[in-house]
Amino acid sequence: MKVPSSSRKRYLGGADWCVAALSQGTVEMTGRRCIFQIAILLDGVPDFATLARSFRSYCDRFPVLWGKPSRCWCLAPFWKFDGVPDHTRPVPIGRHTLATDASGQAMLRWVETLTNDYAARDGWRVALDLGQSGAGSCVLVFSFDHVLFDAAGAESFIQLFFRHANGEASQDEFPEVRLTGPAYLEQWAQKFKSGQTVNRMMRRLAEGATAWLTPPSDACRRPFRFRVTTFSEEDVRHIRERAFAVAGYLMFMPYALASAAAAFRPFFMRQSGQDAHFVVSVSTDKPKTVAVPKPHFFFNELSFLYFRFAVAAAGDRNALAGVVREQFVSQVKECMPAAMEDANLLMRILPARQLWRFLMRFYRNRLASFGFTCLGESKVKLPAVLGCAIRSTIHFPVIPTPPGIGLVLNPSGGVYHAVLSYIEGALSEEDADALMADFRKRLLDEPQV
Amino acid sequence: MTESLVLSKLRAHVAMLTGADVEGVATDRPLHLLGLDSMGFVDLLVFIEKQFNLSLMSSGLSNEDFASLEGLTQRIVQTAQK
Repeated sequence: MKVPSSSRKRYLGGADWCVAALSQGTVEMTGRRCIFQIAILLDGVPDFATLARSFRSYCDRFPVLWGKPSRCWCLAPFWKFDGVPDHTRPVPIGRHTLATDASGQAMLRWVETLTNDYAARDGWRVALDLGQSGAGSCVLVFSFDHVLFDAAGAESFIQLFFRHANGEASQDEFPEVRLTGPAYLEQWAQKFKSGQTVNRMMRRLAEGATAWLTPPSDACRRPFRFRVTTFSEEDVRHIRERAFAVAGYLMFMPYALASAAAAFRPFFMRQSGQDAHFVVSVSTDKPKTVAVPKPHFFFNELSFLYFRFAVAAAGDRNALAGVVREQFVSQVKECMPAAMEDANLLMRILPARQLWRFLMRFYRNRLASFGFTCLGESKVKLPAVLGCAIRSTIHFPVIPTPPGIGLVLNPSGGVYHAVLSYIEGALSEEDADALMADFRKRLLDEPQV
Repeated sequence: MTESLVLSKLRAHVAMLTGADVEGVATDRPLHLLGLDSMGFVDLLVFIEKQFNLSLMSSGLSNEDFASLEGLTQRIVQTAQK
């Protein structure tokens, strides 16, 4: 197998191209592309000029940030970039003053504004904004293009930036992005077979009526909204105990997903009736056996698992946890995440727009009823940056899969943040509040009223 | 099936899942402290099922089985001998 070498291109993996197709879909549906943001809450406010200078010099080390998708003669898409940063397109860096507000609502509304602004703009891959509310604290919001970063990679990117800003990073910590592998377009028969495995599973899941919260017809003019709820260290200890008791050892994800599914149930019941079922896509790490190597923190190393629940049975959280565990084991046994990556490698021969349309036609416009992600422990582990203590890390995703509703659970320094992301109109304000309150209760295993 | 063979296979698989060196995978620590999450744990159970032809999930697992890779090894060897 010929392994070419270049410092100016890197073949995109199956997951990267899948995200590119989903991003294309988000553009068609909402006018915005697939991005995500990581907010870092700080005690104190760093000097903005120093922060901005440091971030620019850091980004200059990675010309890949000025790249764009292109296509090779062999039909495989790759990330094309020059060997030097393009200073005619500077990395966006902003400073904002927020209203002082102890509840955090002003910060949340500001992050929503940033999200909707960046997701509608093209030509950037990473951005940094500082929001200050009073002299005692601030929030740094890093925005990321999902085609170039996944959540874990973005956290590693921030961690190294903080070390760079503190003057602690050594030269050999900076990765060089090289074309380290071939186009992975050989063994077509095996990839077709993987595609067949994935299609059969997806058709099984999509069979019958899928419960669905209809995105508004004017979604292009509607903003993405967020709801956040935080679980204290004591809450987290309690949740972990309950997860162990209900779902079993190391079965936190099935417990959390079952709690989320039970919380979503009343909305699906109202919309589709109790004879329907709903399908949840869960993003997970790509299996380590898959060959495409990830160059440090750039590009995507994720795959998806899919879970199907009957609306009628989704009220019983404990029973749902068992259903999740069963479907989880069955999909891992059938090597579904690996098959999905393998099939996605083949699907890269389609342009992102065609791939999106193909997926939508194939799955009758309903890939999932909502998306769910349970992230691993935050990789941002430094105690402070530029003299300000790091308090917490919160992920804010724009969920690409229609209907644009997702729930992300991310641990940070002993606490958990749950973030609901939705396109306004798919859920009402009251529905979003009720959903998060119910999810919180179910995760804490509090009695239901 | 010897204990040392089972343990070395489990250790190698956990190293692959967590991205650690095989020598760096402690055999006397609980699995969650080795860096395994739900996905890694289910992958390990499926690996055991395929590699040793044992379905530990259906045979009922206790806390002691996950206290360490050594404990899990003993459980696998005992179940295989039944």
